[in-house]
Amino acid sequence: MSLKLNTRDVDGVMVITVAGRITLGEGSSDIRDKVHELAANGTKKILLNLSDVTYIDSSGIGELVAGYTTMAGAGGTLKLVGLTNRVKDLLQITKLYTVFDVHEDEAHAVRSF
Amino acid sequence: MKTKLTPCAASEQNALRPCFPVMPDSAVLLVETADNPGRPETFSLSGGEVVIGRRTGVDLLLTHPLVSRRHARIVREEQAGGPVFVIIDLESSHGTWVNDARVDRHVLRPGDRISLGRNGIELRFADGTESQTGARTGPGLLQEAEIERAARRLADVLPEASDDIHSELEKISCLLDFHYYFGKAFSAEKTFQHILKSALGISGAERAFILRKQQGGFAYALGLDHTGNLLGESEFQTSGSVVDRVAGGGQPVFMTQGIHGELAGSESIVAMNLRAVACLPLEALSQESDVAVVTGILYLDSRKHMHSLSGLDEKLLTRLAGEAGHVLEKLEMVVTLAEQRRIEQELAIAEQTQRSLLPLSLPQAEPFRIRAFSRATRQLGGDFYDFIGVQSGELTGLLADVSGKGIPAALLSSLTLGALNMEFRSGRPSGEVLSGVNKLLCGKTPAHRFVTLFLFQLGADGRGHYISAGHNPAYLFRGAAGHVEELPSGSLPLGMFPFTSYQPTPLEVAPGDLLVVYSDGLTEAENGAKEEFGEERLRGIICEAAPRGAEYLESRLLSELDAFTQGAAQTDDITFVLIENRA
Repeated sequence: MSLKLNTRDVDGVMVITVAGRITLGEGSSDIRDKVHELAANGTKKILLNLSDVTYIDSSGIGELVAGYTTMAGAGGTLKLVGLTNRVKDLLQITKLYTVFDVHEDEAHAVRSF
Repeated sequence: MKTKLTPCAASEQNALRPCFPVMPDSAVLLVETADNPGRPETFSLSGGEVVIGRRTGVDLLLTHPLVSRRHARIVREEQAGGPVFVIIDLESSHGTWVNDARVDRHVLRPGDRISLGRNGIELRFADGTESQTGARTGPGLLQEAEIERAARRLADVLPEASDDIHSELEKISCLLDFHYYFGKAFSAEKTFQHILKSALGISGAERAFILRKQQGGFAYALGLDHTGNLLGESEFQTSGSVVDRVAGGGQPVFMTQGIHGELAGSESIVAMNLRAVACLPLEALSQESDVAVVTGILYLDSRKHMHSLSGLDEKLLTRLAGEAGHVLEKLEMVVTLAEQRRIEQELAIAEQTQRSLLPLSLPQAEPFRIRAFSRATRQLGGDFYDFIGVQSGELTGLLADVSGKGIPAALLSSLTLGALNMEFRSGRPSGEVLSGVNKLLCGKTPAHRFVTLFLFQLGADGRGHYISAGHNPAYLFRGAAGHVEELPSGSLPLGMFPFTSYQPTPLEVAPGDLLVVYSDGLTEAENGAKEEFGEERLRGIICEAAPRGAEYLESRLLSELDAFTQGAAQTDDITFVLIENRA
């Protein structure tokens, strides 16, 4: 498994730090499952920190969207912070930049909820 | 220590690689193991590069604890004085040694002794003149009938001629190699029968069974009695306590002169009135580690005494079990192969079905010259393109990339293609068509599955529009200016959010212009060094080749792609559509 998730609570926001490759078949559904689990437990604010993501493919983008829709469906919010250039490019191409609330640094992102 | 040569255990009559007669004018490796002292196996190096290791997939498979999975490779290099063979260590755990010196890279000379691991398995490098012993046919020429004959001979010569049992089983082993490499069907039952017959012959037991490892223990595979009748699963009663002991400890149990010790009181043994039991593990070296694993059990019993098994006969039986273990292991491979072939056949049918969804021929739509190309990573692809006939002389085309790969992606692409065709029939504008398809996909697929799509509609005057649903930018080569423009995405992919709207952007493909729509599998195609083909390279090729037309650009793209990837495995589907205005 090349994907590592680490979840911590920062001032009421669940920050999930994602490290590794978010790609088809390498544990990419872990993000979806984690968000699902948190949403089921009543979490309303999730921040995905992607600064340690080394690679992402279109399946990985799909996982981010699944997390987003899960939270939206549960009446919560999912935001992104620490996008590498690769993730930025993909969000730009797919126009998903217009959907996600994207932040540059974590402290700022946590305050924005 | 266990030494195993695969394919083809140490039999007198074969090269290590099936069906490769040794070329007299080429270099060879001579392989001598404990199993074939004084009669080295010959392995031809005429095939170019040869990888030696312990894992299947290498060219010369040597199963020995000191041999790494990919241990070393031997390549032919052209040097000033003529061709030479060079051995290169592949970062093996125990090293590659030539004439007792550890080497990373060494130019081989005839007579060099190569050792895989210090004092490990030894190979000798020789020029072709030494290979007379090896210049014969491989096991490919062994026929199944020959096994039958071998087995019959076995029955005649047992138990005296011990050497023959070994070589007959080797022939079976070789035949399995042949079946493994050349994909012929082979019956497991026949193989088991041969093993059982041999075992009954040696031991004089009344019944013999082979058990194979399955989930949760060992289960009946085949049984045979001393008169040659098959024993069905219903007759399968063995002493569970003996089997458990062998399965657990991996050590054989011989009780041929009456049952004694703790087992004498065992319920099953008492109930079956057994006088003699022999039970041996069938072991094989696992592919992943050096540990021998018990993959099956050979069980023999008798209500009478068996032959008084001398120490030699016990050894013989043990040897038989050892060979049978190898055979069992190979059988596993053959079965896996058969299963693979079945799946491949089903996939081939699915592939045909999917291909039938793509346009059979490219449309004739003056003044446009159209080229399209698609190559899936696996048999089934997630990319597709289509041209939809629309009245009033407009050309409508699209190229889509479904997230994921293989079967799940192919299913989603079929669904999308079907939905697009239905929606287009309604005659509504393309923006509304995409909204409809998007809603359908959102309802039918989970949020993480989506489709990016580039759609264009062009009139005969070259004017029209495009809609890019989250698709990577298409390129438009401007013939007059000689440069490339980017057509970025204006909206989100299909299948993500139900209320996305799809607005057309004006597009003009003027005379001399060439539109290039592609999937990111093209720009993200990797070479051996994991570098991507890249957008810059693609734009460069377009600028250079587009003025000579769509056909020329297509062939240039494909040749440049091949030159770049150098045969590195394709990681994503590659698809492109070229539209040239020839007016």
